[in-house]
Amino acid sequence: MDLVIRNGNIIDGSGLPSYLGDIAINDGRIVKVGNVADTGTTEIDAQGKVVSPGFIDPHTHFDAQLLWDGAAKPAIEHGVTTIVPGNCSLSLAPLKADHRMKLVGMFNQIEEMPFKAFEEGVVWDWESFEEFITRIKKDLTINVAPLVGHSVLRLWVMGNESMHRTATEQETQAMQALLKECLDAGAIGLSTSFVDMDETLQPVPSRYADAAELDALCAVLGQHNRILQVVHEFYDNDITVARIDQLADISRKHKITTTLSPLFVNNDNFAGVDQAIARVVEQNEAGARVWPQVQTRPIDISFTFSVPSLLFIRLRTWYAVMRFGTPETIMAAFSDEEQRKQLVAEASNMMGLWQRLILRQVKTEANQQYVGKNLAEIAELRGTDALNVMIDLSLEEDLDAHFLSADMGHNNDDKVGSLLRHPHVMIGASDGGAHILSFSTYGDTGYLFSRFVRENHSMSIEEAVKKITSDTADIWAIPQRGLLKSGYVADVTIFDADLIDRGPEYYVQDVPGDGHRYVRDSAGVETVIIGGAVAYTQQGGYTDERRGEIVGGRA
Amino acid sequence: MNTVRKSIFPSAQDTWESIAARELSSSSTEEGIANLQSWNLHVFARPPAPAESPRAGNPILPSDILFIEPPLV
Amino acid sequence: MTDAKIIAVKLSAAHEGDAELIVDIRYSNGGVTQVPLDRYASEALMTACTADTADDLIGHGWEKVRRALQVSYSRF
Repeated sequence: MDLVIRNGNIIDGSGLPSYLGDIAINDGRIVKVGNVADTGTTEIDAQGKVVSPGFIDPHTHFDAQLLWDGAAKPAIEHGVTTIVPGNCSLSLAPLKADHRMKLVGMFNQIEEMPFKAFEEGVVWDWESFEEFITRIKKDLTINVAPLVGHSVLRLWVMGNESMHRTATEQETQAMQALLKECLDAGAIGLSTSFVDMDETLQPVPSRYADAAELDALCAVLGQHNRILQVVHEFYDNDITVARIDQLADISRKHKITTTLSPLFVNNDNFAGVDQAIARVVEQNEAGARVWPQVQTRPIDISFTFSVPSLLFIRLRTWYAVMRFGTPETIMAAFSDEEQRKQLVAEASNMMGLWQRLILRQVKTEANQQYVGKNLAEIAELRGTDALNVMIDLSLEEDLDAHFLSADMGHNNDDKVGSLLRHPHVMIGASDGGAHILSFSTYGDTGYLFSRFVRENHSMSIEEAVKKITSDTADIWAIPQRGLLKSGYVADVTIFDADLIDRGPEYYVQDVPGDGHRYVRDSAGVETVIIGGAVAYTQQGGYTDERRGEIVGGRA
Repeated sequence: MNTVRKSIFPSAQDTWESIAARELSSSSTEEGIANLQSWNLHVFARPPAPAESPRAGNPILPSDILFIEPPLV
Repeated sequence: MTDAKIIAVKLSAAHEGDAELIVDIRYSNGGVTQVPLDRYASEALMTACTADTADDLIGHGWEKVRRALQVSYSRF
């Protein structure tokens, strides 16, 4: 045996209760689950720990990162063994050389991937989807189930016209042929977008497609039994319901699975998300396969006083200062004794909010000591209150002090928890690898266990594991993953059920071209095995194993 | 199926005028357009197409969903 | 002619991590829709309604929201 995991609490991904057992792995496959008498070349003692299938993250934008980091860090240390990139109509292939800068612009606009990262981190040695797959396979630690983007198909076939008009019949046929080629090369499905803007703030190419074009492409998906992913107008409930109906019609017509993401809980309109879910159930009971994706993490709001934030729109004096002010006049208002008194008086009844604000970034060395602390903590250290600390830090930093107000949206634990548990909901929409300069998109799996299993008891640990392993694999038709079962690929996550969590968010410089991003470390994830080899341990970090595979859909 | 708000997929050439004439024929064109626009404010939440675009002046995209009645009560 | 009006405003967190303003508009049939406004559209709406605070927007007509959205995105 190559590897034996002993005495773990096995949660096999099926949703059945955990049990004590061993797992034997040989040649990258699970060969036995239960009592293993044979000795492994490597033995892992998992006593007191959960042994589960590796987690699957179905909504990511790691496309570019995979070109310089085949582990899609820090996904693996959060227990994720398979990622789905290429969402929202954007993939990095197929891509003609002439369109590279156009696509870089779109990735920059939509996913905040810096231009310099592409300049310094990418060798453009592919055009076709197959060549791209060959390129990323060279150094792959994590498994990748890549979507092909509708905008990219249009760009290939129609060139710049893809950003202006619907396709002709001939162009639609060319897109169908190209999609087929991509699916044959390993794409798990097609993604499209009804909301995204390109770098010129014009709609991305997929938004110029009419319903007939999308239908024609879905016919190809049907022939290959592959999935359609869409990002819809998630900010409007009635449109969401209409998109659910559209996807249901497509799903029934072509007998394919569809997924839309993200679906959020609006704290002022629970009825909206209830209506959307009720429609999904109704349509699925009528034979459709429509899977809304719901993310586990709440939404945070970040701001500085150098840009007016709507966080202050109900505070007349504050908003007037920010809305009509220049940096100089805002600084002057903060410095003026009378004006400051007025500002503090107006906002002091919201002291709870100011106390919870976290200082995210500063530029002066002197204030680095406070980064990561909340304003209540900093106020105590400085002998003042949170509101005055916010003003003082902003003055000291020439308004370049960055604050974060955590848990401001999608944060009703009962409501979000009941959605995450819902049998017609897929847990996903992490956006891993995107928005890198705004917030961290990593650690949603840890947050699922810490918040919705341990603290809020929204679901059992077995249900949570099933949701992000076998359910996801089944929905996406990913073969032989998602269960701890003899014959299945040995993607395994070993974690401490009492400790698994996401760590605090921090800013790090690890993007090519001296770029930065927000990340989170994991807590409680001890070992991650991909393709039968240890890819990560909590103590030793990432290993040199490269067993990641391209995981295409089941035909 | 439960009743949901009525919507259409516009054709590539559709404008407020053509949709109002087709879908809201019992109203005057002016009233139909005003109603359509008030029910579809999301269409305005995007930059206008540049002057050289074949869509210049028309904010409706072929992939849109457009409501042809107000929100249900 | 439609006489839809703003009946409520709420602060919310947009997907991208910014604060956004949600404007509830009620139509003459009693149906209500929610329109999210980013900071540019919110500022344009505040200006159009000569509002000092978000709550001053209540009672204004839907055309001002349309215009604010147009003004906001015409900046590009």
